[in-house]
Amino acid sequence: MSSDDDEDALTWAGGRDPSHYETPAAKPVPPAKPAKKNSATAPADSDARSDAAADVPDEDELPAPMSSVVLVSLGILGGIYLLYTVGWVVSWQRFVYGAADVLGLVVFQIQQVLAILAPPLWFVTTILLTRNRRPAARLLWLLIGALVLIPWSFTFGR
Amino acid sequence: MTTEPTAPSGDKASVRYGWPSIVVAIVFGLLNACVLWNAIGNLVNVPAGLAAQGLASLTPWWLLILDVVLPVAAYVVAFVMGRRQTLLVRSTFFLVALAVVACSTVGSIAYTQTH
Repeated sequence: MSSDDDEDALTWAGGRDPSHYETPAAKPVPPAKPAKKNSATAPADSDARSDAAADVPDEDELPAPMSSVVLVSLGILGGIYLLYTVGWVVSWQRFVYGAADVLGLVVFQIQQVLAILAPPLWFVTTILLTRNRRPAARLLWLLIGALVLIPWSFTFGR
Repeated sequence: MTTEPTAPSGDKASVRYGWPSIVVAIVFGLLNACVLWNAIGNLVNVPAGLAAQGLASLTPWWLLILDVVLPVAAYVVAFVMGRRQTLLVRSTFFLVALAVVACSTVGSIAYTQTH
């Protein structure tokens, strides 16, 4: 009994915890093993081996992880685009267009809706279509949009 | 005997400018033309109206000209960028271009109301 207590002092309490789970270390994918040693199926085995090797993605083919600077920049630009959208909504509420004809009024209201949709449209389109481009190109396109889509009508406040 | 690797058939078909793409280009062309028509009307009428009131010096020429140039420029840019894209991407480019033009139009109307 006393010897067990001594051994307890030399071990970690969590070591016997049944809920403790040791995660396995990440191992590289082993090459495919030949299924049979039969010489008649040797060509088929080599094909299977080459297929399995092709399935394992090469490190060069994997997309480069996005750096934290790019991620933060995308977040800031996303916030700017969100503010632009709010700005266009406010400008819609602020300005009343007195068109002489109904058609002109309808066209203007459609344009106001399009102006509100423009920042999210530009942002989503850029993010989706520049997935495989360099981060600098993505940020450049988003910066161009941030310059083009400034809600000027919001800044002409009364 | 070796065979040449063939490209996926979808790529070539999607890049070709077929009739759906032509319809999309015409529809967005008409929408941009509508905006252009209004801008040309403003370019003609606004200076005349201001001149009649003796305020010819206040004519915002740069804004009136920008409103005329932008629909054409945006449409051309969207058309050129979408040439090698799929129909969906081409349509998206035209829509984004129209939205940018809408931003400019709403902004210019707000400018003329407040200046």
